[in-house]
Amino acid sequence: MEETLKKQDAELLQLVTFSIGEEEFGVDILSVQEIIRMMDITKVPRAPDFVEGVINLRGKVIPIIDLRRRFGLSTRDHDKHTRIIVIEINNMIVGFVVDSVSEVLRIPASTVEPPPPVVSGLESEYISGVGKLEDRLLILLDLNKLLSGEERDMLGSF
Amino acid sequence: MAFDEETCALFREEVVENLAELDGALLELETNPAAVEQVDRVFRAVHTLKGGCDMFGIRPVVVLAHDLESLFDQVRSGWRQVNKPLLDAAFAAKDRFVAMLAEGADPAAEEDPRLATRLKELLRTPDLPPTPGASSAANAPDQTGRESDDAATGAADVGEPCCWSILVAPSEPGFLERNDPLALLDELRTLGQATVACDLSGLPPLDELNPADCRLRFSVHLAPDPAVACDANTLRDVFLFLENQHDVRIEPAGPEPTVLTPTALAPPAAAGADTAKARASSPQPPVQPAAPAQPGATAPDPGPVQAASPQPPQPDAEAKRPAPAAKKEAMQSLRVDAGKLDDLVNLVGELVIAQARLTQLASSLAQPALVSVAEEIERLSNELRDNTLGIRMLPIGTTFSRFRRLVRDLSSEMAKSIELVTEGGETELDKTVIEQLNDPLVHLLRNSIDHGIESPGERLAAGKPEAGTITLSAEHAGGEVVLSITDDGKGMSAERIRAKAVEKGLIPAETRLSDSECFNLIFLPGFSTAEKITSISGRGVGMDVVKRSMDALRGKIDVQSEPGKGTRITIKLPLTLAIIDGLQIKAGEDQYIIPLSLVEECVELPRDRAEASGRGRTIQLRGEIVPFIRLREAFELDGRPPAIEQIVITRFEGERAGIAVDQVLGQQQTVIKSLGNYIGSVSGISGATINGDGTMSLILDVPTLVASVKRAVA
Repeated sequence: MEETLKKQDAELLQLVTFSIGEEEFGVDILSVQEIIRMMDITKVPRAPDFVEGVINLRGKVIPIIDLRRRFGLSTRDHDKHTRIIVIEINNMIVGFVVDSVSEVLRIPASTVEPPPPVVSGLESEYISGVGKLEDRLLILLDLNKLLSGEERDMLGSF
Repeated sequence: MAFDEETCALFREEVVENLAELDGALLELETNPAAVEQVDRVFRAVHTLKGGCDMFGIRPVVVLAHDLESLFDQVRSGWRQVNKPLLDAAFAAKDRFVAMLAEGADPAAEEDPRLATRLKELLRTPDLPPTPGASSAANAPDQTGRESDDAATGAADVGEPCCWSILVAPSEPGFLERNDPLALLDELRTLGQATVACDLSGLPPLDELNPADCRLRFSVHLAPDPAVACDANTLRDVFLFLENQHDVRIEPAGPEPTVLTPTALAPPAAAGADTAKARASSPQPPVQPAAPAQPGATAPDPGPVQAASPQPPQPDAEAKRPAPAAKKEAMQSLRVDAGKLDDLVNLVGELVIAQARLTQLASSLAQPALVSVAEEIERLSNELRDNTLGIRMLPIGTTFSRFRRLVRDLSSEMAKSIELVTEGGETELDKTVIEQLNDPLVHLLRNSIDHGIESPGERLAAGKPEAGTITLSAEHAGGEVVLSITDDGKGMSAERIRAKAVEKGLIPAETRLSDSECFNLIFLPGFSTAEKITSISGRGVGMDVVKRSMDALRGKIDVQSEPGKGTRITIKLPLTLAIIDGLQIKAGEDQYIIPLSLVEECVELPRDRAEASGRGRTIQLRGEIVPFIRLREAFELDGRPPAIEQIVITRFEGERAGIAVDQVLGQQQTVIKSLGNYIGSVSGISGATINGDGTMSLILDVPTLVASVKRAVA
């Protein structure tokens, strides 16, 4: 009995889903520290374009990344649905600005397929897979790559 | 025997300290072989090491330490001179200790039989014949510094008493810690005929006896072997480790083995002048002549407790009266886990932020009572901050002494003769800064040794003294610590460095550079002028790593050099990494902090200069022309500047530069927070801080900001 439960657990992915534009994305719930409403962001001059600025989260300075800009999408004004997803990964804490946060979802790992070469203009290297839900597709983000790769190098050279 | 983790950690710390102490003392001895107090230092360090390792059952270390100890004992007894073979063996032994005691190492596997033989060989062949009086001769160079010994030596000179009486009384419960009395007795026996008696009079009745306390005393009557040099000093040395905490009395005695009894202990007239002399020479003050049967009468006396009472004493009364001086000193310093200190500093950082908020609130409410409380809290938190940061300050000297070993080893490896001079070792720096400073300094020193100092032949040919000198100095200057490494080697040629940089494609051939800019090219990655790669340097990684670690410490590094004369590398470091005083300014919507240590003054931007651009952007300040930049432009801020702008005049490395801002808000304590790994370093901004009202200010990195604007203009 316990065996089967474990097995089921292992095959279930727990995701926090959010939307940017028309697309819905998912990230592993374990890497999400918290979700906060939009707050005052202190701009950091000379920082890369997609760095919105920094916020004071209970005494900690946390950089905020605008995922729209990060993915090369057109920007839009923040509204009451705009949220910051605070993510901790590799000992870095980073906040991502997203259009809205939808829900916490469990999907069987078997429904996730490898990413197609290009998904709505964003390079597939940041995508760990595409989850097929009943009526829609969910893009699973690879946060590790999102927080590393070229941009890190580019930032380093600043 | 199993030890808990804490004990092991303490032991490890002690080992590290003792090894450092040993290293330091050996190095001192190398420069000044006559320094008797250094021999004592060596002896103490080795002895403590031996004791600790014995407790932990690390036999190989104990065996080696024992031989080393015996060698230095010969030195102390005047049988051996401090010379190169001895020091080399001692250094080798120290390295062995390090290898044996390294975490995870198997001490037995690290044993070096050849070294053991070498020590044994040395032990068998003392340099000097063991004549009586040699010992006082060995002490002679140091007599002025050791008055207490003078007295003893003097006493010995007056006429060698034929025999000695020794009484050892543990002056506090808990016995002799690591000192094995049997070993001491054995040592005494090597000096002559020893008659030992045990004194049971201190024992309480059985039902009051605490087995952990030692209430036994023992007395020894020693008839020295005529062939052995034996005076009060030699004997005192045997009890070197006991003397501070326990009562050890050494007195001349007649040939009869009449053992000192406790009743005979209190200075009776019978013991005469000699006794008084011997007492005066011990670190404890002489005891008032009190009637021996009145132990209570000595109670107000802060001096040492005499093993006085012939009757079973009240254990409490005796326990409460330990040997005062040594004990007090031991309690004055405290080992604290560094992590706890870091937590404390973080807490103080948050307190400072909260206090800033309180001050802001108080001034906006304008309630006199509230304002006065806020000021009081401000004063307290300032003091608390300074004290807390002060706790983490360590003298940089400990790091310096490690380098002396490095220089010694490297210079002999390279067959160069180099003297390391250190200055300002007492300069204090934040613990974390010192830790992170170690590797870069090692790199720079290696560079100086390898590239800087020439071989003795070259030096003589150039008319310099054969031995090169590297000076390592540290001093406080304003809110910074300035470290410099100066060598009198061959120096660097700016032209050659430039050519090399062009050749390596690091700079375009047409770049114009000042000499000092040329020297700073050596910090570029991939730069190395060494013709050949040695084990020490020349691989072209190194200087850029040094530069990067300095950046991480918010330090600045600068090179000056003159061909043929030498090179000087200057490092400027902030005192602490955590909290600075800042000047809060406003430009556009946002607030920024300029480190107050860089600020000279604030002036209004004259209207006629506001429109100037490019190179024309300067103001006249009391006859001096000072260039300035506009923060709004540097940061491409939106909106229009106010009618009257302010200029904050900063000075960095002797150069002044103004920063035009919208408004100067005031001074504020600033807890530095990094922008986080993700953003990393942004040119012109060194970090962020949280203001009293919860908003944030970015901290300006003035030097890079000014430099980047200057570059853009040029």
